[in-house]
Amino acid sequence: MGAYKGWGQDTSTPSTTIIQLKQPATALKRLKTTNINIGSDVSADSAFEAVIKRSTDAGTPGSSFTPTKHDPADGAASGVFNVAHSVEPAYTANSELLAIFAHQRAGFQWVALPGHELVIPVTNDAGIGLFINTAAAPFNMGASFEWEE
Amino acid sequence: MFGYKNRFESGAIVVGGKHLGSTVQCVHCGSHEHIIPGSGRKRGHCRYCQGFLCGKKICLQHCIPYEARIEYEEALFGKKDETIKKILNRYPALNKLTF
Repeated sequence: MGAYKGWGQDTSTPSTTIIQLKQPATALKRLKTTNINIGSDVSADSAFEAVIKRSTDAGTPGSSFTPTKHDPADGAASGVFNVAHSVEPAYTANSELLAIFAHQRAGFQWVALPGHELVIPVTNDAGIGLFINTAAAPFNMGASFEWEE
Repeated sequence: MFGYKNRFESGAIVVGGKHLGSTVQCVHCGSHEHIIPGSGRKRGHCRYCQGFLCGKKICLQHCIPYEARIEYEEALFGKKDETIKKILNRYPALNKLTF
């Protein structure tokens, strides 16, 4: 089992996806999200509300980030990491996995204890996304997911 | 791991470098909830799974363990008819759910 990390930035406009981790089209593996980091490179005052939700397609990502391996001896990640969508992914209703209420000035981190990760099943295009519900004033948000597969 | 004080904690919330709270994972849907004692929010406990429930109606109504949901999704994708039949026999409400 390898551990991987992906990160990206986008403006935290309400109803937008900052980052998304999803299954590839082929060679799927069960993805287990262990760590979520959210922060900003701008010092200003804006509270925000975000959720981690299950998605069922890729939408139209602005870019894809090549996941970083924690252990150089591991193979390339099978998880696809998408950033800054122009068309949002389709989300499953009532599939919120984690609600985040935080502030721009304080970096937010969530860490899963072993055995309690957010699991993405081996199903084509299944994924999770960091979705912004509300932000007092949209700002440049940076976020990362770490996962095992 | 830091923040691991008892078996009910499933995740840790760190804000500004400080450990501010913990999350607990629902044994049915797998969502993590930030528990605030005294908030008045009613959640639940599954006596079959012996674990915390998030309080969503679907999780309170049907005992379908998180692992069974994931295996069902994967069996549907892999078109493993025998596995689908086996899981549905054990958890008939599963085909009413979306994941």
